[in-house]
Amino acid sequence: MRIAIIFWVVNVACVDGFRGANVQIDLSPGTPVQASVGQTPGTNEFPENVHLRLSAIQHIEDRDALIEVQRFELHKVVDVASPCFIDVGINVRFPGIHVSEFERAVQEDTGITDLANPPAGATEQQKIDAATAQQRMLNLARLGGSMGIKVVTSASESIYPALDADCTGSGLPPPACRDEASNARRLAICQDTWAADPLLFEGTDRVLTAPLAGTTFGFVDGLNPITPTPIGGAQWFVDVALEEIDEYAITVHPDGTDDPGTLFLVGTPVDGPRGVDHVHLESPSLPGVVTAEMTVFPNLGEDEVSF
Amino acid sequence: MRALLALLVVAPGCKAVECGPGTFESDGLCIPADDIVDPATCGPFTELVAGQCVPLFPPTTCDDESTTPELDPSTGVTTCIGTGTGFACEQPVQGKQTICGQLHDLQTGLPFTDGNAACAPCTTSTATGVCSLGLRAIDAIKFAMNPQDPGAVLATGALYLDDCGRFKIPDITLPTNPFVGIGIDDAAPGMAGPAGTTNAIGMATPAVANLALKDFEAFIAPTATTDVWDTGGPKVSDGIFVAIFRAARLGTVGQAGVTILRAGTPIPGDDFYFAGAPRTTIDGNASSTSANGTALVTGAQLDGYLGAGGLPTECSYEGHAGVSIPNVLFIQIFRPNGPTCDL
Repeated sequence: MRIAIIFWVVNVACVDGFRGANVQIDLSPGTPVQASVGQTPGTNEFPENVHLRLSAIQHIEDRDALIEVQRFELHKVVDVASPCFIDVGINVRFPGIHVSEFERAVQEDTGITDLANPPAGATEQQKIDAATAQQRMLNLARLGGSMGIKVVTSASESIYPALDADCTGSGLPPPACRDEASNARRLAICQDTWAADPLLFEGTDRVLTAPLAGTTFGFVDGLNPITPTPIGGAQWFVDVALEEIDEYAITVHPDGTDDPGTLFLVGTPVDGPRGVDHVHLESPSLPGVVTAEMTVFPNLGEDEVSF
Repeated sequence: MRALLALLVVAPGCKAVECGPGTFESDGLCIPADDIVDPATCGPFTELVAGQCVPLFPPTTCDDESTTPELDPSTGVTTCIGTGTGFACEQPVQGKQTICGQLHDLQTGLPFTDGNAACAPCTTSTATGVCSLGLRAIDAIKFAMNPQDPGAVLATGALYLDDCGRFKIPDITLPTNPFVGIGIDDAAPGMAGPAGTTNAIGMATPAVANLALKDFEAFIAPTATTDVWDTGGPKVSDGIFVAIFRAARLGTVGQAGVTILRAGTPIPGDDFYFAGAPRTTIDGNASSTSANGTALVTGAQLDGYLGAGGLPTECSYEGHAGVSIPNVLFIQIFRPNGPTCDL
């Protein structure tokens, strides 16, 4: 019994669990996002097929030692151009429909094409459904627009299968195909693609923090254009303990290559209270325009608090 | 008991891994770096930053005496603008926003300039013309809720206005609300409101720190313009929200056939449209914009507005807030948007 007590007393000061670190980052509102699937990058957009890497750096004598801490991507929260921007779930009205066709499908279903002049006999529920569908389209334009929400996501090199030429093929149907068979085929192909690569991101307007596929780590600082309320902040739990780091960098890399990448943001950690580090990251090419504030909680496995 | 104390002394913390230089602790183990970069790999006039060789000097250095640097945030390219006749929009100081642009006559859409303008800065206030105007930055939300709120006025650097109608409002202290407004009226206190060169004008844009917003379209509208609207249209005394729908993401061409929506719903009775391209005669029967792309709205209570119609299906108008404030024209530009919109 005495031995057991001694072991308990000796070990009580340690919490032996996750030994990595927690990284929390606020990317400034001007941060670019990746272009929509299959689209040429526009103003303030990265190409579609890139990812970003957060790296930690140690200065050792006259050299820099780097380690990749986290890989991520930046997207608009909804990408109407994506072939798999669809409705999924047991409560959706048209499973597998491309969301850009939702209003038209509701119009066909309810017979209401003009909210101000619904057909005689239209029920109150049908009127509500038609109006809600119209509002959803308006919200999509705002969420996916240039002032829309930018999301920090998991990174993937996967791409969707090519679209069929029309609605009669056996592959991924074009978005305009909204018949039941096309919707079912689209749903199956998209879900298969997501299952094959759980990191492939596909957002939805239904729940902004719960994507159809992939992981949402958080948001670039900005406004929800619908409410409009401030949003922002992303975080990762990473395996690297992130102790004694001299510098952090975020670089942009083309997918599927060994390209060393382009330096996007860089900053030096400043020791804060209780062992928490703060990093102000600046863009060498866009100083003052694109910035980030990052907080690092290093080595969560080390807990010297005694009870 | 002595043995127990000894054990406590030798086990004060929990850190079990000490990694050497160039290695990192990951999941309790020391792992090698992904990459080790030697600064000797960097060429002349470059230095090692975060493992990459970057230029030692800024890519562009402008002559302080004859040029001013202007950064394009979308490309990262800095252009040196000549200070003789050029008009640079310099980066604001850290955490602030700068807005630069050109004044236009709302009725004609043409730049508002003085006759024989030499683009000389307004040094003294005049009775008429560009230099009779005063500009200020405002918290758009506070101003919309109470135009008399002194807390709605935002601190700025020294304003610039020249007789070509070009202006800069530098280093705006950003509001806690998400929009910065620009207020335009006659500078002389006795000429505030409808009197003088212009009615009181309000415009708004998203508040973005460290942004130099260029080419902002601002407007003036004298009573000679708005009095004509009294026939069949809204009155400035009630407040007018002026929504201008453009045909493309860039440029000043108006879009015909657009109906303004409040919270997604048409507002017959509160919206008014013009009979032709000039912003003069109101067409009481029109339900969408003429070639000038303009809708006049009354009864706006800081609502969200959109435009419907006039655009191809892959394009739609972004939403903007609008408000009707007595004796103020609140003007907002709407542009088409959409992932596959090529306008």
